[in-house]
Amino acid sequence: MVDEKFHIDSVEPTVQIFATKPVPEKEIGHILWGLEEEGIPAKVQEVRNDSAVIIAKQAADSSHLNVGIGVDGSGREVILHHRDLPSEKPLFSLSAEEFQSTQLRRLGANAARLVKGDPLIFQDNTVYHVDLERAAQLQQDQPGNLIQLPPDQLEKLISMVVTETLNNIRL
Amino acid sequence: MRYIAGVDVGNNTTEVAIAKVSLEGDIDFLASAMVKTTGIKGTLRNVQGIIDALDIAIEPLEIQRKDISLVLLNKATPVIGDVAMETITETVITESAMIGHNPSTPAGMGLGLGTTISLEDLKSVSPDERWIVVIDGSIEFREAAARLNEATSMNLQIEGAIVRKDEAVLIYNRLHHPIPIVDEVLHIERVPMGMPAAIEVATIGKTIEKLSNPYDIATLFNLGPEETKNIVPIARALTGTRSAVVIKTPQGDIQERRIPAGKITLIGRQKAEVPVEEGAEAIMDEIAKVHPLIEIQAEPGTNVGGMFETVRTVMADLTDQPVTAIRVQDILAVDTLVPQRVLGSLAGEYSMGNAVGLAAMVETHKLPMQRLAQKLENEIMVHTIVAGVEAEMAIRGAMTTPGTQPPLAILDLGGGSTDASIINENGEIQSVHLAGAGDMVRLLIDKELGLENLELAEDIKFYPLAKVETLYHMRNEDGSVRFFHEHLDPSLFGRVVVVTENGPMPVETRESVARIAEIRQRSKKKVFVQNALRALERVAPANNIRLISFVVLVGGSALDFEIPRMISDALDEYGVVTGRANIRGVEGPRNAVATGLVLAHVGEEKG
Repeated sequence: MVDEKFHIDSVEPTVQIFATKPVPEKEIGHILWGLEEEGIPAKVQEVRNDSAVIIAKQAADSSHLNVGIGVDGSGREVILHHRDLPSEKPLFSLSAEEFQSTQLRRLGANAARLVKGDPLIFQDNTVYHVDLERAAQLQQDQPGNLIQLPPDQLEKLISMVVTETLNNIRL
Repeated sequence: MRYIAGVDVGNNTTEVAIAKVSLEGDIDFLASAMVKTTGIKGTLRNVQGIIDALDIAIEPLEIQRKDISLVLLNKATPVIGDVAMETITETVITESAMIGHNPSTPAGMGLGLGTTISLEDLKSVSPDERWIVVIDGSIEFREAAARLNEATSMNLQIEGAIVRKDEAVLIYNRLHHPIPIVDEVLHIERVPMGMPAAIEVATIGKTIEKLSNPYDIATLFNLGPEETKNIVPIARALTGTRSAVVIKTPQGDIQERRIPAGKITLIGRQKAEVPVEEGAEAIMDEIAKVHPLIEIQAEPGTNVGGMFETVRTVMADLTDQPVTAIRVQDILAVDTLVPQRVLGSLAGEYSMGNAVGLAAMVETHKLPMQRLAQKLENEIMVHTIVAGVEAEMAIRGAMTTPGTQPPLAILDLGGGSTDASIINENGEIQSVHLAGAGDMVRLLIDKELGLENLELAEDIKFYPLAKVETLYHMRNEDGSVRFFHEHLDPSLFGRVVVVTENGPMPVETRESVARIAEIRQRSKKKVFVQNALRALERVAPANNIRLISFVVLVGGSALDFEIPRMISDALDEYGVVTGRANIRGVEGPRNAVATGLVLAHVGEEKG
């Protein structure tokens, strides 16, 4: 059975979803529905423990459609990645607080839209990496207002602040 | 040796040319500058823009403002133009009767015919009838699919489904018997129950065939000839969509209504009245008949009436004249189609309504330029005079374009008006101002795409389009591909963008690149080609464009990436050499008037 699946896997173009233990079946279900409504096939595979961003990148690299999703079961983090993006710069991420049906389904739909070349869906609380990068860049460009941090740490910091703020708004 | 500055205050831009003039009267142009005009042309607020432009121009010359010995200001012909649009048809549904839209992912394919029923009520019906099931937002897709399967297993005939949420494919994939499903129906609560309904979904890449054809609708619902006439607007509104629902309600009424849009009164050799709803062609025909026009009046209380009032009031304020003394002297009417929300629709559908866009123009000869010159002189402490008439100066400037000679005509393609001037072998100059130019094109683009965003419409007018195809590349409208080293903003992915100097800007519409480009080009042609011909006919010897040998294009819209070619193509038929001006061989279509001012003044001094 396993072998047969693996065999199909190697020829069929799918969005790859790599998940670590404990695999959150219910949440992955929402992601799959998002992909299904958009009509793009996906395949879930359990992988050994690693960070969500790393397995997301691996998933993207192994996908014939160049799109992968990494689900960190224990940390409850989801990352959407594309083969063409640098490993440390995924497209979208959802944190534990954002493990909700709408967000997860939207992430799935966006994975599918990425494959189809359709505009992505926004209007949500998804932490938006490119904007953060820009914010960080702006910060650096402000003379006299420098935050002396390497860009990746700065990004993380801003990411935390944004998530925190968004959570507060939701409360 | 002294420095002389020519200053041209235009509706949109203020341009400056600085020349060094020797004692013998030899002119050497050293610098030029262009800024946005501050305030309305001819008002004292212009001074700020003029000073800015002067400063920009003299900066590289390393001279001071006081080193300039004379500033020449154009004797502007004040022309104020404005644009408005009257919608003349609209589709009104007095009772919910159709859904026609393009959800991104409908499901199934083909045609289903049945009676509308909610999922709840499906339990208690007989197996003899056919049903179209309405599924509201509260039901989860798995449950909806399960209930539909249960119903079909009890021999109920389910022909199709209408769904609130974006879940058509999810439901469809769980059904044992395939049916067409339309989803994302916003106002699902408005769908009437117990009514005959037809649902159609086309395969990917195709559009519906049956529900966009009035006779097919008549066949499906057993309609008589009179009823068939009434559903024509539905069929038209549904044309081109991938999925649709039509529901027949007993009192249901769909009309394409003509909206009274008021009348325009043309006063010239004789007086004529044209109702705006008769369309642009009727209006323009009438104008040609009545020409030469003395005045145009629009019915108060209409959009066009309001626009006429605005233009006249602005001009009255500007020139210190009573509003009653200001007359609208030219209009340009253009037919267009605008997307309109269908009144009483179920999914926020649009239908294309007919509309007429109108540009109006007022002109006076009493602009207080002297006042402006005085103010400028006081501010910069440099002697300032009002010199030459704008049209003559423009011709003089334009003639510095290499390869030209009189008889020469210039077409000044601006924002508010299209102007033409001509100079014959004897140096006599004639000119005309016509309504309709860049602002009109912008309005047409805005309305036809339903953007409600004039800035975006301006960008669409000015920049080429592209489609972002991957995170790293976009395809330009000419088919070429542009790659990026850094990945693009994901919000641009899959979108149509305008490629500006500040990077790509998304166009918030679902229209394709080809469609947007077509609307853009059509709008430009309707306004500029029509006006170029109209304007040249007025100034040409014996009103015959063939008798003009050279036409040069100046003004802001001459910088457009496709308008010059369009005009050139149109004038080619008349055997006219047409091209963008190249003032002094360096400025392109800019700076004609400012250059002409300096040339004319020095020429006069020399006698």
